[in-house]
Amino acid sequence: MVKLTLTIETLRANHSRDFQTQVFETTRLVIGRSPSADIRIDGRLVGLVHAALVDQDGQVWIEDQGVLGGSLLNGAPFARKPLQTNDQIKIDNFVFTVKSVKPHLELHLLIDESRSVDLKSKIRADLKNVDAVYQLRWIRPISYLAVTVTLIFFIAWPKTQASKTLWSPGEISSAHKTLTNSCSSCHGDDLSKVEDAACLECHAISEHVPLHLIESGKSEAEPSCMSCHSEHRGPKGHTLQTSEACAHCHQIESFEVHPEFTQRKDQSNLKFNHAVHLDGRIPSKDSTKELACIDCHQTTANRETMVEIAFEQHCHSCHGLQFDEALGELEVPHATADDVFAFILKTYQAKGVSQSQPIRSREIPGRPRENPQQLSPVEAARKTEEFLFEQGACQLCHQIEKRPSAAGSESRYLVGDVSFESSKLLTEYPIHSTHESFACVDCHSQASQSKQASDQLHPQLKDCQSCHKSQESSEFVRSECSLCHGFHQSIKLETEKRRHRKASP
Amino acid sequence: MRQETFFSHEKFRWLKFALIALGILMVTYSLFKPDRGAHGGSEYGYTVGVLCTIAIIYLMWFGIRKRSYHAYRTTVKGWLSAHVWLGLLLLIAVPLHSGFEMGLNIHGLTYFLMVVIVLSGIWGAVNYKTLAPQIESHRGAGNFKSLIEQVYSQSKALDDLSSNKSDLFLKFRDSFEPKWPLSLWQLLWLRPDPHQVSAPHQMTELPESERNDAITALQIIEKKREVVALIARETRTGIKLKVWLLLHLPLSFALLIAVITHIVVVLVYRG
Repeated sequence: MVKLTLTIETLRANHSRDFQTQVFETTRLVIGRSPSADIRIDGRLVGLVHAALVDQDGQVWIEDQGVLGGSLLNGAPFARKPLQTNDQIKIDNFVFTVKSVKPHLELHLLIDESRSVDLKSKIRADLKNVDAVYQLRWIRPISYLAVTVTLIFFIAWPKTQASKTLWSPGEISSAHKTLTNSCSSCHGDDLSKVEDAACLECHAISEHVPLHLIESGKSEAEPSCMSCHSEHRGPKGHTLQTSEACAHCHQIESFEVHPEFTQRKDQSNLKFNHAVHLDGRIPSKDSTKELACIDCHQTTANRETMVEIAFEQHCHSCHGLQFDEALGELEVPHATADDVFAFILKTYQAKGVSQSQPIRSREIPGRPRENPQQLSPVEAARKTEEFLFEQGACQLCHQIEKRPSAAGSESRYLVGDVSFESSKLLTEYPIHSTHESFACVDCHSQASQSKQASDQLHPQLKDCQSCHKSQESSEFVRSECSLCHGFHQSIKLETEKRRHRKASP
Repeated sequence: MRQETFFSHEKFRWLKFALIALGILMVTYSLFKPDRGAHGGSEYGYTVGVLCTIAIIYLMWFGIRKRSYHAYRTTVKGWLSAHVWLGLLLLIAVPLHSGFEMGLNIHGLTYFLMVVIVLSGIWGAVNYKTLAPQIESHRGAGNFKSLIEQVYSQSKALDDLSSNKSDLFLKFRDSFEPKWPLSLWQLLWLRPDPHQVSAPHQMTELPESERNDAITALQIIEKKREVVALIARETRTGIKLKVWLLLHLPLSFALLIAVITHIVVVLVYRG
């Protein structure tokens, strides 16, 4: 026999509570929608006979009948279970709480009417739900969020960072790479506009730059470092590349009115005839083609400067230094005159030579061949020396002077010191590596006519002007002054400063 | 005659203005070769930068003008037309200002923010263009309120029909009746069930006395289904017309902060 006290608590809209108590005493108690059910509840998911309470062995069991929405005991579906105190039975929207099971079963059902809404309110809520303008109420909080995030990301966070890369308008030039994390080096402690003084801390500037203008309190119209140089424009940086600034003082407005280059003469103490070497009659070292510029003039690894002309490498294959026919291919060293004389003397003494036949002392038509003379090694060496320095291989290339007197082991000749002034480039611009697609004579057009070693053979103005035209020209190729002329030749980072920069973070 | 929209307002007056302005900006860009290369800090860069800032403020002013109900000299449609075409012009004007130099910093991000705003604006304009005819076609169906009232009256009719019916009848109703109320997300993703209701099969399971009522219930359910689908479609259209604003407006305020920061940082650090 199931004995049950059911308390139905109804919470009204005005928050008052009604209590209704029903007492049942039966073997089987039916919960459902049916008019004949003991506990009658009505809902879309409530069956006519939805669940039943039965007594078995002194315990009350609940049986779910498995219809429609079914039932849950403490949130879990079930078929048949004994009831315990505080168990909760849920059927559709109805929740029964087991208050006690002994001495008899007490069930509590709460019907909350305070939250139930009338039709008008339901319609109002649905209208809000589908109203796009109402849904846009999120714009305001999202805007606050977006503004806050921007303030943090654009201002607050970069302010706490040492590098301030987020504020930086671009990558710093490679020359200033070590200053990437040290904004104050240029911008000062107050992180303001860069002043020239910051540049001058490291960079010594030649007199070419009007220092007095930079250091004095200047107006906007006056030049400053930043007038020509920009930072934060990528690794290469950006530097003013017009001729206007130069024209203020130099009165050369463009490359088209550039004065003719000065063609100076070298004092190399050499004799060299470019015209003969380039007239096509002399074969190159491997004899497969004519001698060309590149057989003597090669660029170094940087593709910019030239490898210095060396006798062994560039001349020797054609110009041998044999000195005596009787000694075959034996050559004097390409050394000082004293060394050459010493070598000849030593050779003659060692070989016991008593007569000499200097090389090229050949029979001349119409003149009888000189008969070999019986000479001492010293006399023979002097004779050979005289021939070499006055008619032979040495005088062919070198300026030779005869000494008024010479000691026994000294040469009687002086060879002029060799220096190649013309091998120095007159511009800081990488001129050879940027002109590799041209032939040498395109720029050095005078080479094939030159007969003197003193000719420097630098390009003539017309050679450059044939390509380099002003910006106004339709065939514009850069030709601003600074392309060839260094502006800050004396700029250098002082060693101490450099060390200081590296040490700072 | 084709109706004039904010795109074609006054015979595309603002499109023409934007194209002329773009032409002038591009020609001057190619004519002025700043000494240190094209960049935002050149005279041209500063000039175009100032113009772009004014344009951004003008574009944002549309939000205020839209609500100025007493203004009469200009029309909101005219303002919207200018808003659209000048906004598009900025996409090109800003890179011209910076000389096409753009980095991963607040300056580049400011432009990125502006691009997102303009793109969201384009999305909104395209939505408007494509959805406007649909809104018109729905007009005959009545407004939201009457549609929702219909749903509730249909539910009530079904409740009345279900009273004292068997569990099978309730199950029958439950398996066919569309759910209501639905959340916004459910409405946005609701699509008509492609499978036709196979009612006859379930009908045979019902007690004979309830079959007539089941047919009536099915008719009501079918109508309710149509009304719910219509509400969902209308809701989707309404949301599509507005949802881009959730991006467009908040980012516009963020852009204002970004532009001010960009200007201050550039002027303080300039050199």
